[in-house]
Amino acid sequence: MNKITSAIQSIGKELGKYLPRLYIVREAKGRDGVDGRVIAYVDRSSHISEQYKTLRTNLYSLSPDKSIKTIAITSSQSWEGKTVTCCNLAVTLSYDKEKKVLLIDADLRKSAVHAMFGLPGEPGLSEILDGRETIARFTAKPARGDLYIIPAGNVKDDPTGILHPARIEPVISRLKQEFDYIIFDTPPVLEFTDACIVGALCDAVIPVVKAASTQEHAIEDMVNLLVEAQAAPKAFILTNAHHLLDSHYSFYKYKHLMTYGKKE
Amino acid sequence: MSEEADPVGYTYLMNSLRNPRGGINMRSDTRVPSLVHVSFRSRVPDTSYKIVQATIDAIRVENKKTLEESVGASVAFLTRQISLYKDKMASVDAEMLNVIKELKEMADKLDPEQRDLIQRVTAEATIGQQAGGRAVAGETISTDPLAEIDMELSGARRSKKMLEKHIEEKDFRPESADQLQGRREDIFGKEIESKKLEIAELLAKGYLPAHPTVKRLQDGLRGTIETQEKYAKELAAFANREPTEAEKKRAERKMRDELEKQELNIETLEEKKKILEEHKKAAENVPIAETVLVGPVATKASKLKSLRDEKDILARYSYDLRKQLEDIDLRSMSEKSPVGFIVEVVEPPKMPVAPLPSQGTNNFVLGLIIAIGAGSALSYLVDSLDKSVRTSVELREKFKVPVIATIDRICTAEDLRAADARRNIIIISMAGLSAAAAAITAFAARVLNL
Repeated sequence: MNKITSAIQSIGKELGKYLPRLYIVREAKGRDGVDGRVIAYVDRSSHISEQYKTLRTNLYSLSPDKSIKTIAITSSQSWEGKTVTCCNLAVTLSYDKEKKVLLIDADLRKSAVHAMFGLPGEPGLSEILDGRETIARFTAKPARGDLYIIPAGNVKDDPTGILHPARIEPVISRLKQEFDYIIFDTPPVLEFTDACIVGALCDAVIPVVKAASTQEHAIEDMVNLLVEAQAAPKAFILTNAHHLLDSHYSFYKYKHLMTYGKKE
Repeated sequence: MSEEADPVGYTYLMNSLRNPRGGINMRSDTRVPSLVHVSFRSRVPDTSYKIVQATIDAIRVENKKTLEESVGASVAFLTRQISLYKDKMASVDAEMLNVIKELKEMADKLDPEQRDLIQRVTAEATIGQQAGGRAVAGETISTDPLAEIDMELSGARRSKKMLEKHIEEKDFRPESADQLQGRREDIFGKEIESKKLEIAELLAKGYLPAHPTVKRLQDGLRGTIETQEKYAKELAAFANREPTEAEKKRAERKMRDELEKQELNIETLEEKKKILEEHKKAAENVPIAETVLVGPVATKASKLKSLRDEKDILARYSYDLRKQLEDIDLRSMSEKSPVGFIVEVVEPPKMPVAPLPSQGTNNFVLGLIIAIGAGSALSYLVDSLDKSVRTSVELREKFKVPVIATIDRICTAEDLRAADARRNIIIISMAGLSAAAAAITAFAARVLNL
């Protein structure tokens, strides 16, 4: 039986070299009740974790003259991978012991960050903005690992009203003093204006684009809206990628990536 | 074969037969060399059937034509030869008559003993002439030539009467099946006998029955017997059918020719009979004595004797030629007969009852080409209609904004289940996966490009 298993594995491995790469989340919940999709936390040795490390490195070099402290992650439409990207990016950044990283769930309509990390959904950002809760409660100690997290909280009124710049700007200013990186998970730009409000107050807006799914005109509309809101995107993150289709990655490089640093 | 009657086209067919790439395949049977298989491969069964049928018809027509040509040439040659011999014999006859006349004239001046001798010699010469005539007919020379001539005459008169009766009643029936059967039995009988004799001789010489030569002869004998039996059956069928108009006309022409021949024959026989009676009467009065002729009489008598010998020889040659002619006539008649002689169709072409096997390889190649073409066209169409961004290069070039990360696809159990439901493919549940199941799942998911 073991021989059959190993044979299947080796055949799959060999054939897999010629197929697009894919990460299969084996367990819905990993250690500490963190969602399996937060791969940077639950499976640090995976190739996806390596890709998030690349993202971190590129983020450092994105603006060498002026450091980027606040980052708004958004997208044109739903289901493009904003929350997963936010969580993984925040975890990857938090691995740097010299940096304090805060992840804020600014998607008050469909909050998911707390669920990703297995935390209670409230209190959170809406309570802070309403004055019902203090920031200190969330910045006292990291929620998971070295990462500080502020969930969306319980939203009773209009989310856009809660996220009014007059309310949120002082909060961000204060948090910037305390943290090196603040990551905002925001709603889709083409559906709600929240991302434009938050983005205008951040150092960088980075939209997520889902490969082979997001249409060109949707990205164009999103960019136009962000530019109008003084929140022009600094960079893109391409998710759901097919490496074999991407001309940046030759097969050789791909194979090299798979075996690099591993013992024979 | 006319062009109209031939659905394939006679000229085209003959060209196809001559052309090795024409597609018409003719091969000899390995066991029976005289048997030829004709086949033609075509996509349309009906066309194959027509072509094979037309090929067989063409072979028969060509064969008949060749036979007629060869028989015609032989008949012409033999007729010419017979005519030559006839002329020679006529000249010998004329010379003999002159010698006899001269001897008779000389007889008046001789003594009675010598005169008798001359009479006897001339009488013998006349009888010799008759004997030569009979030799032409192939009969045994009897001691009473007059009786022989009488018999011949009566036979000829009987035949003449019969022919006249048939012509008067317009009863132009071709040769009956019995007659044909008789003649063929005669031909086959001779062949069978000769083959049997040949085999017996070889065995007597010490050849074993398994010897190839003996076996070949035995095969030939068997084949001849089988053919004879087959012809007997075909003749039985032939006997029951009504003769065609063409056959009737042929028979009429033959009858009229025969009648003319008989009339001529009767005339000749009557003349011969007359001469013979005269000479017989003269010879009866001559006593036989041993007399030695001398001088010019002896010379004439000797010349007469040599002329008689020459005529005998000519008559024998002529007889042989006539025999050959008769054989050829007989053979050609058999070959021209409706049942055929040399070329016969053992098994007529058949229309296939079952559908022909499909052209597997051709269909496969054709299907492959069509599939590749259709697939390419479809993929081009889908690709041209799809305006989604697929690579970081596209994204960067289109919006002039850097792409700081490219993250691979992350797939959860829910995604797999959704894909399973969508594509109707069983993928093992992610809960409690074994190593093998996990490997299969991972591979299947990647193949399906979830």
